[in-house]
Amino acid sequence: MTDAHEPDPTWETVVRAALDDPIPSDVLQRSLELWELTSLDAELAELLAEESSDAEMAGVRSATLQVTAFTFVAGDVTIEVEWDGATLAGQLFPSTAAEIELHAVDGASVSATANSVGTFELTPPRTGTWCLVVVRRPDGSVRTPWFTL
Amino acid sequence: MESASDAELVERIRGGDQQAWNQLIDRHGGRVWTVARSQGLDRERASDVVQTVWLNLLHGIDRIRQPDAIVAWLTTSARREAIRVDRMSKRALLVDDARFDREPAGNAALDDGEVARQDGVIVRQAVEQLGGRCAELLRLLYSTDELSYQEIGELLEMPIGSIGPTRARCLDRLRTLATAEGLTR
Repeated sequence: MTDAHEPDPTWETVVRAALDDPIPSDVLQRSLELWELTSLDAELAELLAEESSDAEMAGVRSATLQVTAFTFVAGDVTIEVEWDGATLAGQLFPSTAAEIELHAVDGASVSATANSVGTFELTPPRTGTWCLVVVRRPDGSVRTPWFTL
Repeated sequence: MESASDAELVERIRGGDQQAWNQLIDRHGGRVWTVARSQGLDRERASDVVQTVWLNLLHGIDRIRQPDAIVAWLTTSARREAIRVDRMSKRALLVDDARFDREPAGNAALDDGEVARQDGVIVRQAVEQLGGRCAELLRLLYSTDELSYQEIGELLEMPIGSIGPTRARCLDRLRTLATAEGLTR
């Protein structure tokens, strides 16, 4: 295509070299591995609602904290979680003994045990794309869709 | 062997064909990455955007109404997700910190010496300073050869005929900024 606004080719070469940014091989590999990750043997919960609200974080100069709340439902289990940027706090309804696992797309995971009223807290090591797995015995597992923290 | 069309790959993925999934990612993974990075996200956040886009496709593959337009779906989804992630990360940082915490876009490894390396850093910082539509357009045009003018035009809702003049203006502004910051070439 003819372009009447051809830029200085030397400058264009400098810009192209500076911005050169092909997809890293590990990012490509993780994308390919999503196929296996999504075939976990668990009932998939439905994301019912996602809400965000702003709250001033006391004691931190000029910072605004965004709290994001998710609600997932699978069968008779409802999982409500709130993410404040550092901790994922949640509760199961009805309250039930369960192991709660938080899985990242790259295979990292953290886990916690829901207490007698069904509340739990998880601290993911970093932000990113995660899913929750609620392991109930003998009622089986429930997995949420992937969501971004 | 003639390669399968995008629409054929989508149909095969719906039928549970992992090889089709791999082919689609091999074919378009670079595009999704380029669009995510065009918003100025660092590598970690851009990587998260890429994974989110592919996951959303995998979960919603049965709801794709135009399998032959999957490229437009991927690039639009990547742009929206990258904008969302960028907004959230900016809100989570103090303004003063944001300037220093964000890794410059691009690959710092250049072969032609320290001067070129320093110029590369200056140019990337100038692109970040440029911001907005200009920065996005320049990253889409120069970070890889993944996207055509037509794709960029559709993504930015910009007539193809205006991409050239806009590019020229943005390059001029970039050069002014980079020169002010000490560009040597």
